[in-house]
Amino acid sequence: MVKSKTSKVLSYILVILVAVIVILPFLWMIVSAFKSQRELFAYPPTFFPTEWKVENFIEAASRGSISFVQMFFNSMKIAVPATVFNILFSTMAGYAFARLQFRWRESVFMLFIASMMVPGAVTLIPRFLMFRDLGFYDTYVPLVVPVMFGTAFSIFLARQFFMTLPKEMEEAAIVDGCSHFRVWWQIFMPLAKPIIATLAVFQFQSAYNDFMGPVIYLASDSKFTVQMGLNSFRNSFSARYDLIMAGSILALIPVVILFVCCQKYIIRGIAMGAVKG
Amino acid sequence: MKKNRLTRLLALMVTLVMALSLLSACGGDDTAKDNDPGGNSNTNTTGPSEPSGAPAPVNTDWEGAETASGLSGKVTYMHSGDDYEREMYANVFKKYMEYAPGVEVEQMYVPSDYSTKVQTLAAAGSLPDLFWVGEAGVRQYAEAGYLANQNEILEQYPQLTEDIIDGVLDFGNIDGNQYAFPKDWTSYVMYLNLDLFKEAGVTPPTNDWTVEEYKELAAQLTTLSADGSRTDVYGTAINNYRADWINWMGNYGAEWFKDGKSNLSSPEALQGLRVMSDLVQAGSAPSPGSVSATGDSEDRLFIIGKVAMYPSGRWCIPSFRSECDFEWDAVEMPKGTTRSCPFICSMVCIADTSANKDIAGNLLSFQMSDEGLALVMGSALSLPCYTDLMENDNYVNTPPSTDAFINSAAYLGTQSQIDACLTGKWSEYNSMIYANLSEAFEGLTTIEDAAAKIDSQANGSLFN
Amino acid sequence: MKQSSRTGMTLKQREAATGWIFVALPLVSLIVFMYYPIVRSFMISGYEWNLLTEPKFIGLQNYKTLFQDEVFLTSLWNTFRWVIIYVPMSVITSFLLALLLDQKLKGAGFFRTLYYLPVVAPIVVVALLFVWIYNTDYGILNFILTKVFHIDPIGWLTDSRYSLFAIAVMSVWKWAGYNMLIFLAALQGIDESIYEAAELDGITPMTKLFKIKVPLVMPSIYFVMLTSVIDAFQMFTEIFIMTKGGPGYSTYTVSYYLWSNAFEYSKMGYACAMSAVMFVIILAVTLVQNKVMDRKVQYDS
Repeated sequence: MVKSKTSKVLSYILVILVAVIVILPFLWMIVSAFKSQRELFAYPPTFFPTEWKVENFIEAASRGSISFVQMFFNSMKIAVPATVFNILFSTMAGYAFARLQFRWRESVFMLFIASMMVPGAVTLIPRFLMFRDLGFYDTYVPLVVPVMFGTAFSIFLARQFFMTLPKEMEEAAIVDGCSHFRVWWQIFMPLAKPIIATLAVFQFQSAYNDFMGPVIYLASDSKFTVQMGLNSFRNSFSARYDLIMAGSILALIPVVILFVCCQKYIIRGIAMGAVKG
Repeated sequence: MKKNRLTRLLALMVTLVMALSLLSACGGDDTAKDNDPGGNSNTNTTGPSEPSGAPAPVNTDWEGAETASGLSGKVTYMHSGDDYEREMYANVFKKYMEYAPGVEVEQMYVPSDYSTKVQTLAAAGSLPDLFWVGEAGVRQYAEAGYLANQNEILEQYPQLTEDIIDGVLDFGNIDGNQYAFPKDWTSYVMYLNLDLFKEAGVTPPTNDWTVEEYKELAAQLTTLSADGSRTDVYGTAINNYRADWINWMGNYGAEWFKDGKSNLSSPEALQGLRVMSDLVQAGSAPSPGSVSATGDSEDRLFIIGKVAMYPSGRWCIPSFRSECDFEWDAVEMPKGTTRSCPFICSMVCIADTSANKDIAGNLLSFQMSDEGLALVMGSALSLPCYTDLMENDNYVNTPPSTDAFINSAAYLGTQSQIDACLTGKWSEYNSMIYANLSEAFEGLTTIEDAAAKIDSQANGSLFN
Repeated sequence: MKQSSRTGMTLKQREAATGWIFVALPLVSLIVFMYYPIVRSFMISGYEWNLLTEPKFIGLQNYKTLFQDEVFLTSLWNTFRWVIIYVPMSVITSFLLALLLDQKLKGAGFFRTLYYLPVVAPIVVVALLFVWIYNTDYGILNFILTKVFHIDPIGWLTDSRYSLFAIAVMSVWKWAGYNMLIFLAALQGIDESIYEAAELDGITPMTKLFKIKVPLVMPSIYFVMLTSVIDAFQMFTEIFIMTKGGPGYSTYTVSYYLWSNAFEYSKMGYACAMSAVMFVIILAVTLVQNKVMDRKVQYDS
């Protein structure tokens, strides 16, 4: 009894300690965002800014030829279609792999699974050349199209989820002559909220957080995404850490909100995909 | 019920989107007609329209004004730089469009990773009409046929090369043909925080100082924190950056690139590079990495008063002017056995694929005219390429005092730099130098070893 | 309702047709954006090509150069070093976190969410933040270390002895939450009855951990290790933002060197040869891993 109590206390201490380690860098980002440049380089460093410079946020949001708002919308133009279509096509394919019998189903599925092992750098150049030849350089097409028709990971997660649903779900409907499209859309999708939420966060996050893709495919500043804008506070001659920190906070807000909204589903979703994988 | 409402909402949204896209499609057509008189203008642009709001200033001495008024079409101008630069060039294009009411200049501003952009755009076959290429990149594009020969433009607009500073054209000249035009240049100088000199009771240097004096001053100006555990103010700073290496090696007359081979191990080159590493080792300068691992914020240290002498280009001045709250000035870089100033410049190129080369040439001529340069040089981001303008304080203004900049025009550029740039392999060579020197500056290897490694690496794989 | 009779298809045929229709677009996308590029990459690797001029066929020359290229070999070595440094650190940390949260603590859900926060943060944000934290002269980390432990400032990102390690620590911070969830799921999937039986035998917590938990979670550990190895070959943004491969070549990774060759030095053929080598290595790692796991990865429940 006594032993378990002390171990409980110890556990709590550890849990909180880890929480502090997780939080501290974020906290440092927040306080740094409010400091003047001089204070950023002060030694010994101050924790709280002596003077809270809210202007940093205003400057970070409006500096450069396009505003942060515009960059945010640009990021959305990539992230939203990539996420929405990815979910639709992935769940559809996931449904097929989980429920429908067709020839070569397992082989086709293995093709998807195997592709998860291929590092993106391998396909980088040919993809670039392909989009270049098709005239899609400096457009959002190369950033959206390769993910919108479903990606191996999403399909895999969706399939895992659908396999956990009881067969009786759709049997009656099928016997009644209901099409598989309707089974997918009207029976499976409403039940698939956890997996949809998980995929939404994953896909949104990977599209919104992507840096290499936009760096390679986008040229003109009017198309810049949030991540590129952030890095452009640092050019080869000078770095404005005050603005970087303020901009970082602005860049964090959307993903954090999305995550907090969907968090309870995500944990289930990851568990789903990983245990068996 | 809820579902019904949702469906209705969806239907509404779809209709809205469709309506909007229809609208925008029509709108697109309209604007296309408005903005592009070049396309179908043979009928309605018999005489150049004279907009009442913008009277054509005839009192200009820009030679291209007349040609400009007769031009029509659209050109895209792509450039890099920071926000100041974007605004300045926006003004240049605005002014130009007053001269050339039939022309639309689209500004394409690329804030970061510029050289990658140029390359991918070139590869994609969609280079803008005018764009900048760094001094080292011209050959690669010219040889691949992406750049228009500018010889005719230089003939058509003689003012472009009148009074031009010696040597600035060389970087864009390939086998006698001009493929890129130096829009400006920047001198490499030493910025001084005069307040720190006063505090330390040290007399600031004058233009005739030497490297030995520089090292001494740097040591004198370096101050430790009260408990002596760390450096509070550094006497100077070094950048692991091509302008710095080229400058220091050049100040010892080094032929660091010779007969098509990397030659950093030559005694003179080593002497120059050693100036940099000695300062770090003596503790008078922070190692380039200690400020930022990618070496990009030494200027911040100068601005906040942590570095007393800072070598850099003229591009620092706009931010120094707005951000330094102390007395500051600039002197020439200290003399080694001789002096040389690195040539750092983005050069203006015209795409060979441009459909409007006449406009591009005319715009270039305007940009380089006294009037065009006046819109750019006032901010002191760079220096004009013309000797007459160097003495004119509308173009080269204070602070800091202008002599350092004016004097350096006399020793601008070195053959080594030109040769190395014209190999067309500079970017890879550059990253070899950068990577190996960074180890030396961090004290993990010696300058001699680093230079030897650069030479063997470069001559083995690049210049063999 | 009446479709099946109208089209003259049996239910089975209809099911198969629907199956193909459902996977058609994703499959086409997979082939166009994954498998075709892999093949094309191999093809381009036989050429010398700077994008700007006509490609020139040079056979296997790129591969020959590649294995004599010091920088490439260093990058490969760094990637290997990364795996050695990062993978154990990451697996152990996230496994410990999972064990910690697997106990029935109040507020476990809250902490789980909190620990996951760095995972959603954009890598650009995290990298820029750590550049600032790791700063040798002005970083908070060195300040704390000098004040509390009286250690001389360490060049976290500028000393080639520490740079890779420093980035690995950042990556553990960023990704531990993700791997933790994977382990947590595996731990929670362990049948309670196993523990109960063990407890009757009077088993110590240590044996419980190593004899029951670790073996049962082993598949997840393999999974995390495999994805970490693949990610090691992906590592680009961290390097691009934090060190540009420096100091020296100490943080050049295969991905970063590949990118430099392709988009800075315009050596497309050479870069493709690199990606081909990378592909072969990953393939080998995956096969070996499958062998080691002594049973094939099962995707069916």
